[in-house]
Amino acid sequence: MPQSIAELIEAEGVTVAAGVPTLYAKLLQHFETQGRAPARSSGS
Amino acid sequence: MIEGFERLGVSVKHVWGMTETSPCGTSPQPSRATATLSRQHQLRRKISQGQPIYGVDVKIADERGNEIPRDGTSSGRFMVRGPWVISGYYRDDKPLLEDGWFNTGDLATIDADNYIQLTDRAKDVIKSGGEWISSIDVENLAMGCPGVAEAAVIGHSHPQWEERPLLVVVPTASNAATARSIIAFLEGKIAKWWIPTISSSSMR
Repeated sequence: MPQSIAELIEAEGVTVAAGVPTLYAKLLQHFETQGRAPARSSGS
Repeated sequence: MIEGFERLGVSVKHVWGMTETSPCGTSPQPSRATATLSRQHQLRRKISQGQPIYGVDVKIADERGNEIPRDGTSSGRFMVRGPWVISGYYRDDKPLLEDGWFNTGDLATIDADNYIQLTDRAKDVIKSGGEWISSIDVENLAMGCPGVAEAAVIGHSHPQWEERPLLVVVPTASNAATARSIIAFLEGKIAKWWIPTISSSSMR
């Protein structure tokens, strides 16, 4: 699940999101495991 | 968690609330005064529950409902009221509010600048040797330990100390923490008698 959220954030250029800590803990772990920050969208 | 995201260049805004406060209740508001504080102090404010948002009143109270001073150290039952705070549960006639205030079930301190810090769920506080241990404080620290993915602290009964804290950990898939590394991480950050027993299914 964190992977699909991370992909969605990067693909859609999401800059603001709201959610509960459990979700963000998983998301942070996902990016830390990959050893990188969320990619910034270069879109419009 | 907030520090972790900020290291990745993502800024975090923390909001406290519950279904019963539908749902936003408090949030740390960035201010000019905050911007003048040290980084460490700014972070402390950022990870606190913040200040009540417009329309919400808060107080901390003792068992009888008397307000406790907002000195940042005295802790009491965290109570809220406001137009979008619950007045009663659906199809439940039991009176819920105390003098118009909803008891959140959390314990908190409030400082002179109105910053709220939840210290524990009232029913999660661990009593050890007659003294209180905040399960949340230990959980939050353990979550900051490298190699820990998830952490929870529960009280388990102990013949001598009444209760002792037990830390249950899910280690990360790579570079997993060990019981020894967690204890080394906690040492010096909390009192010695707060150091929990550690349990994990996949840890040595």
